[in-house]
Parts: sequence; structure tokens; C-alpha cells
Amino acid sequence: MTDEERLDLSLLDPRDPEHWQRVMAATLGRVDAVIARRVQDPFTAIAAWTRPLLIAAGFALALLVPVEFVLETRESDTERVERLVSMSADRGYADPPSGADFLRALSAEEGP
Amino acid sequence: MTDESDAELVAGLRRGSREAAARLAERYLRPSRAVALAITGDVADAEDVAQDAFVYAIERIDDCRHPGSFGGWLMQIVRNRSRNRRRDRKARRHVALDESLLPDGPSPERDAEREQLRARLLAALARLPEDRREVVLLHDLEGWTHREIAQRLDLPQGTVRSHLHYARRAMRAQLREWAEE
Repeated sequence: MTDEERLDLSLLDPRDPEHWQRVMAATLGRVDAVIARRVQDPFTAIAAWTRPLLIAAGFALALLVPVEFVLETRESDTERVERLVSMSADRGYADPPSGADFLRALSAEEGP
Repeated sequence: MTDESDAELVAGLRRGSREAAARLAERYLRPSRAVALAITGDVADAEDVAQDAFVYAIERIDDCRHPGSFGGWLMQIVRNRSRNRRRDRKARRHVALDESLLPDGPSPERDAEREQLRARLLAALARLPEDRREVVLLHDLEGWTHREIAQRLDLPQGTVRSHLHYARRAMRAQLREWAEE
């Protein structure tokens, strides 16, 4: 017999299946009482949902922050175009804005 | 019968599923008994501890931070409770006999022989370090594979193989020595 062969520990086994069934039944009876209390207790129910809710909130934040950033960028582009259009309209078609005017308009966004 | 993961069963249990609790009990109650036996060295104590630890784990299921590792978490509860039980009963000499372990046969000689062998097995186990006892009981009594033990007890597979090898060798040597006396 080598050390790689299984030891016969069957004498330590709960050999009587009926006995083990009783142990299982007794354990599950106690577990049932725990589950019943758990279902009735609103705080426990809330606690059970806390983790999935936090995970969902994390996902929502991870998604919304970049979307918000993109929207902000688009908004400022729109404002920039509106500024240029407005400036052109003020000057009139006969007198188009110079390059310096455009640069002033663009830098005005970045200034204080 | 579907083979749900521990994480799925824990999620079901958190929603109040009795079925999930029953599946976890089928999966882990006997191994819990084996781990408790490894520490207490007493069959009756091991059974009590396994039940108490399992029910406690169900009560505290929201504290199980890694549902996929429910088995390892439960075994740690079993270990703690087993050590408490062993400490509480240190003064008391076992052996408290479990009725289910008494032989069925009518022969008193055979009964005595089996009882002696069982006592020797427990004594040989008691001489092993605790982690080796757990591994040999989970593998050779409960039929867990090296991989299952490694995953559920959070041990490297090489360590599991090594514990098993040395535990078997030590137990065989001890039992042989007693048999030759």
C-alpha cells in the first residue's frame, strides 16, 4: 500500500443514512426559521439589496460621467459656432471678420 | 438537478430561497463535519459544530463578502467554532459515542474490534497537524478532489497534495505501529 492510495476512513463516516437524513432535516428546520425571520425583517431585506444597488449605482456613474463630459464638450462647440455666426452677422456680409477677430472670439472662451 | 455555483446559491439565499439553503447544506454540511472532526476529534461534537456553524453562516449570509467562496468562508466559521468547542471541553475526556457509528452486526467481538479501530483512526488523526487532518478527511472521507480542496480552502494545489501525502504516510505508520504492538 502506497501513500498515494486512499485511506479507509469509513469508520468515521456517518454510515447510517437515516441518521444523516435526520441531521440534514434538523439543520434545514433551523435554517427555515432563519429564512422566515429574514423574509419578514425589512432591514435585512434592505441589507440584502444594498450590495446590488451599490454595484448598479457604480455602473450608472461610470456610464454617465463620460456621457456628461461628451455633452459638455459638444455644448461648448455649439456656443463657439454661435459666437462666430453672431459676430459675422454683426459685421455684415460686406465686411467679413478678419483672422484676428476669429482668434479674439475663440480666446474669449478660454479667458476669465 | 442543476449545478449552480456557490455565488448563485448565496444570491438565492439572500432573496430568501429555501431551496438554495438546502443545496448549500447538501454541498457543505458533511465537509463541515469533516473539518470539525479534524479539530475536535470527537464525532458527536463535530456533528453539532457543523450544524451550528452552518445555521450561523445562513444567519450571517450578508457578511459573506465573496459569495463565490462561500465554502471557504463557512469552513473558517467551522474552524473557529470547533476550536471553541475543543477549548470548552478540554477537561472532558471523550469518547462520546454517536449511535450512528455503532456497528450493525450482532457480534460483540466484531463491535469491539471496529470500535478499537475507529478510536485508533481518531488518535492517529489527532497526531497530525490540523491542516493535514482537514485535507485528509476532506479527500479520503468526503471524496473532494485536490482541486476542490484547493479552491474551497484557498490553498495551492501543491500544498493540498503535500498535506495529503504526509498525512497518509504518518497515519499509516502510526496505525501499523499500533497493530504490531
